[in-house]
This record gives sequence, structure tokens and C-alpha cells, in this order.
Amino acid sequence: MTQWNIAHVDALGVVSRAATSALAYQGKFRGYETATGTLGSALTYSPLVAKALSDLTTSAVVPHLDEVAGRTGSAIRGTNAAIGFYERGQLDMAADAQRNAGLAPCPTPPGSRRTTPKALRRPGREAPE
Amino acid sequence: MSLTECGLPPIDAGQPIRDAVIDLTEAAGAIHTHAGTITRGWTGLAHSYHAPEQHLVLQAMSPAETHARDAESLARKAGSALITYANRCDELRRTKSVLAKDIRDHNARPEDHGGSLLDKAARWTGIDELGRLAVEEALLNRCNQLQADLDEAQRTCANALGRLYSVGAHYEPVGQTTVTDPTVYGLTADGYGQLARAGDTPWGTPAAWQHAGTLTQVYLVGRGGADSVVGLVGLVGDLAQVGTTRESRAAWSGLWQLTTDLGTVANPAALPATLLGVGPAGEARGRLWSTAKAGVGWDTWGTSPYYTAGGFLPDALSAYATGGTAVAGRTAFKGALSAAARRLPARATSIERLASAQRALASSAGRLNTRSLDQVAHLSERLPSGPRPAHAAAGSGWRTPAGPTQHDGVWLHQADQPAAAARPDTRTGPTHGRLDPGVYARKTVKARTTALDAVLKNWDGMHVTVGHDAIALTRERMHHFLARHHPQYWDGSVKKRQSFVDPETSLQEMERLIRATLFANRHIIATTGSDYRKLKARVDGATWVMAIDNGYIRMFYPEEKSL
Repeated sequence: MTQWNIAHVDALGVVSRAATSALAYQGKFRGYETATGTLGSALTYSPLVAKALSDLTTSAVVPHLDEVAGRTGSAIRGTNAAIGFYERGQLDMAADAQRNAGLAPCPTPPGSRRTTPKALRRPGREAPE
Repeated sequence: MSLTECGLPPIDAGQPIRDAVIDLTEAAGAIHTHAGTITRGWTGLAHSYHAPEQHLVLQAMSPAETHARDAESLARKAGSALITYANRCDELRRTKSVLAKDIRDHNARPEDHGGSLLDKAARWTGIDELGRLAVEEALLNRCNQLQADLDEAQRTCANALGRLYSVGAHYEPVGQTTVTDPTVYGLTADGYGQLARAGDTPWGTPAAWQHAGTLTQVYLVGRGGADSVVGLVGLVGDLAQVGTTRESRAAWSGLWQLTTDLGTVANPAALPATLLGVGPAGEARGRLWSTAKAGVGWDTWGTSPYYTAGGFLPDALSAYATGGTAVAGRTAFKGALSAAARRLPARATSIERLASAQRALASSAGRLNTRSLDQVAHLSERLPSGPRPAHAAAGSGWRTPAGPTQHDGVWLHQADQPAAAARPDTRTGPTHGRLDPGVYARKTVKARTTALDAVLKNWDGMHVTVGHDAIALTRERMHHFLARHHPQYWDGSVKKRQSFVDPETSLQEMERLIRATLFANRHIIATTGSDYRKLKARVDGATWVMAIDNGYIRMFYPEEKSL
């Protein structure tokens, strides 16, 4: 079995670059949203087509894009947490965080302002708001 | 009343759809490409991250790329269906253009007053009128076919989009599926032919249907009778196939609903609800009333009286031959058939319910839950070399600010204010709570007026045919409506009860709302004419008030609602 051996500076560099790149999703999602709006304007006299496209977007495309955002976020956060726990020698916690990195994010209740799952908060530090 | 090209259905231009599809697929492709870039960068962890179950981390980014690829695939397939639809729209626009020209030419052609003996004989015998009727009916059939083709093009595209995911709807035209099927849209050309008999098609009807010479009257009566017999035989044929064809299923479902409606209304316990017209009993009463009206051709007497009368000839003959016993059965059949057909307008005009589809489409992509990315934004602040995004510092996500608030489809506030507290009390404000004038005053009145002039620069008014009346809206009136009730073009004037339309409402949407309001009041207009009258209609969840006067639309605005 592979032993724990993380070059944390290099690993954090990869995670950091991924986090920086992930922020560019925001603009790209906005581009998709704008294109959808433009398409809606082009379908002024085609209400059925517009409805079908709206249903497709809501029921099929948006869930995929949600997953893109969610999976990317959980991978970055989980890996970052695992590296942090490894640094402090908490290997069990690191293993848990590692497992969370590969999971789909838990749905957050509407209105909740919590940004980091409790299990992933660093000991003695408040999660950022 | 005659045919008019103004009533032909508006059809979207193909090129803007194709352009928008390209934008959409490119946007989806950009997301996929970006996901691929992040995933490739993530593989760099393999050199520095070694741990038991390390594959969980090293492969953690792959699902994101898979979902991005699936989203792009959906967008491309949807784009393919939409481009097919756009091409079909272009074909239909060309067909419409030729048809409109033919109608114009026909209406402009003067009646033949030739002095030759042959011309005089043709006029005296009514043969020339019969010829004119044949030409107008051929034009009418082309109008019906154009609308049916447009409906079919929409259904084909919508069904193609629906097949891309598991729970997508499949749409059928009325008469091809059961009467209770909620996913019906549009009619066949025959269905529009029936609507035309009732004067419910906006492109009008041949004038000779109402005012005809003797020969034409006889012809129409005879054809009404023949069509009645053919229709009845067709219905019996459909019923005989017992659910093996779509038409058969539609006919049986119509009869079944007729039977259950009769049972519902006949139930003594449901009598109060039936009388009050509420609940399922009230709905059953409404359907039975429609069936009864269809059975006697209630809606078609005014538009095509001779044809309708002809439809009763077979009934009279069979009553004579069978001592009256056949008439009841036939009327039930006709009623059932007509009930299915008469329900069609209600279903087909669900276009009014679909009218907000564009708005829903525009906002559908805005339902993305990117909370995870917001979290990443915060995280990147703490990571080495992680940049600090401006919006993260401001504490807001990438999502655009909340849109304007809407009450029953009427937009009351410009809601892009930073805090709700900044808005005026909607019940006590200086404009009686409808809208804070200051919000829209960020642009000067002059700038808004200039924008309005630019929007209406190439707009020459609109004409709508409702029943027997042509109703017009002038550019000056549209200018007034927009200046008074459209936030983007508001002239700043405030009445005691001031209402506004959605700030995003386009000129085309205004036209559609006006058409929908007229369509909803078509029976009132058909009965009372287009003299001064105030009309109301519920469209897109809002109540719209319109005043018509002597064939012109004078007022149009959303009714203010109490909060």
C-alpha cells in the first residue's frame, strides 16, 4: 500500500492553480446564460420551442453544470483539507478529507451561508464566510 | 369579411436562431475545454501527492470534466434540432411571403364588370361568384396549412429537444391523441379549417360564406351536407378501429369524456357545484355546454350559415327515414367529434400560457448553483499564489443581482437596488406604490424618449383581424403606451394609479400581448363590433386593460394590482 508522502508546497501549488482556474468558470457560465437569453429572444414567435428548450436547460443542462461547479469545488476543498491535515500529522482526518474530495458536494439548503462543511473546518479556525 | 394577410402567423427569422445556437454551443464548448484544462493541470498532483487511496484525489477532477462534456453534448444536439427548425422557419417565411402577396393581389383585383355577353351571363347565374369563392377557399386552405406547418415545425423541434433527456415531453396535435393529454400543441390544417368556420382564425374567411348569391348558397349547403356525412363516416371508421390508430384513441377518449361528464353532472350530490360552475362538476358542465353548442353549430352560424345549415340536412333526412331515432345518436357523435375539435382552440391557444416561455428560457440557465465555486473563491485567498477575486472581497457570488420583483406578471420595481431598504414603501410611495420614479430617472427622460424613437423608427403600426373586424394600432399609440408604461421608455409622467410592464418587454412582446388580449376578447368584439369598448384579458399572469374605439386601439396597459 502506498504510504503517506505529500510534497505539500508542490501539491498546494497544483491545488492553488486549479482554484484560480476554477474561478474562470463564473465567466463561462455567465456566457452560457447570456447565450440562452439571446436564443430566447430569437424564439419570440416559437413559444413551444422556447418552452422545450427551457425545460431541457432546467432539467438536463443546468444539473450537469451544477455538477461541474460542485465537483470542482469539492475536489479542491477536499484535497486542500487533506494536505492541511497531513501537515499536522492527522492522517485519519486527512484520509476522510481525501474521500470527500472525490464526492459530489452535499446540497446546501437555500439561504444557508455556511461555505465549508463542518467536518472540513480546520481545528481552531473559523470557516470563512 | 374577407381574407387578410395581416392575420398570417408571425414566424421567427432563421438567422438569429442560428447565430444564437452558435453562441450557445460555443459557450458550452468553452466550459468543457476549461474543465479539460483544469483536469490536465490536476494530474500534476501525481508527482507530489502519494497516499493510500490516492486515486480518490488524483481522479477527483474527472467527474467535473465528464459533466462538462455531457452538457456540451446536450447543447450541440439541441443546437442541431434548433438549426433544423431555423431552416424550416426560413422556408415557411418564404411560403408566407408568397401567400401574403397572393392574398393582397386577390383583394386588390376589381370585380369583373366586363360587358361581354359571356361575362353578363356569368354574373347573372352566379358562376363568377362561385369562381371567386373557389379562389378564396384555396387561399384559406393555404393559410390553414401554413399555420399547421408552423405548429408541426415547433412540435418536431420540441420533441427532438424532449428526446435528449429522460423526462422530456412529447407533443401531438389536437385530434391525434386523447382529449385529456396535456402535451398537445397546435392543430392540423383540418383543425384550422374548423376554426375558420367559426371565424376564429385571424386571417379571416371568404366573404362569400356569409353574403352569397343563390347558386353559391346552394353550393355551400350541399357541401356542408356532404362534409357532414363524410365526417360522420370518418368518425365511425375511427371508432371502429378501437384504439389502433391515434385518431381512434382521440375519438374514443372524446366519447369517454362525454360519458363521464354526463355521469358527473347527473349526480344529484354534484348539483350545487354544477350550478355554481365550480370544481370538476363545473368543468364537466362547461365541456357539455361546449359539446351542445358544437352539436348545433353555435359558433359557425354567424360565419358560414349556409354551410352549417347544410350540415343539418343529413340529420333531417335520417330523422325522416328513421322516425327521429337516428338523430339523437348522430347528434351525440357530432357533439363528441365537435367537442374534441372545439377543445382544440382552448388547447391550441395554450400559446398564451406558453408565452412566458422566452422569459423562462432566459432565466433557466441562471438557476445554476455555483455555491461551490464561491467556496473555491474564498479558498483561493488562503492558498499560496491564489489571487483574490474582487467579487469575493465584496462578499457576492458571480451571480447577477436579483431581478426585478414581479406581481402577477406586472413588474413593480427595478430590483437591482443594493438593498431592499433603499426601496420606497410600495404602499405609500408617491406613485401609490407602483414604482419609485427615481429609480428609472437615472436615465434622463430625453434619453429614454430618444431610445423609444429609435425602437419605433421602423415600426409602422399593426393590424389584427378579430372575427369580422380589422383593428389597427398606430405608431403614435404604441409610442404612448411605451412612454407611459414601459420603464425603459418612461416619459416620467405619473397617474394616480400607475402600472408598468416588465422592463425587458420587447416591442415584439408588446405586439404579442396586444394580439393575445384581442384574441381573448374575440367573442365580445365579434358580438359588439369595434366601437368604443374597454376590454380586459389575463395574459402572462397579468390583467391587461385595452380600449378600442372605431377600429383603433386607444389604450393598453397592465392593470394595477393591490398588494
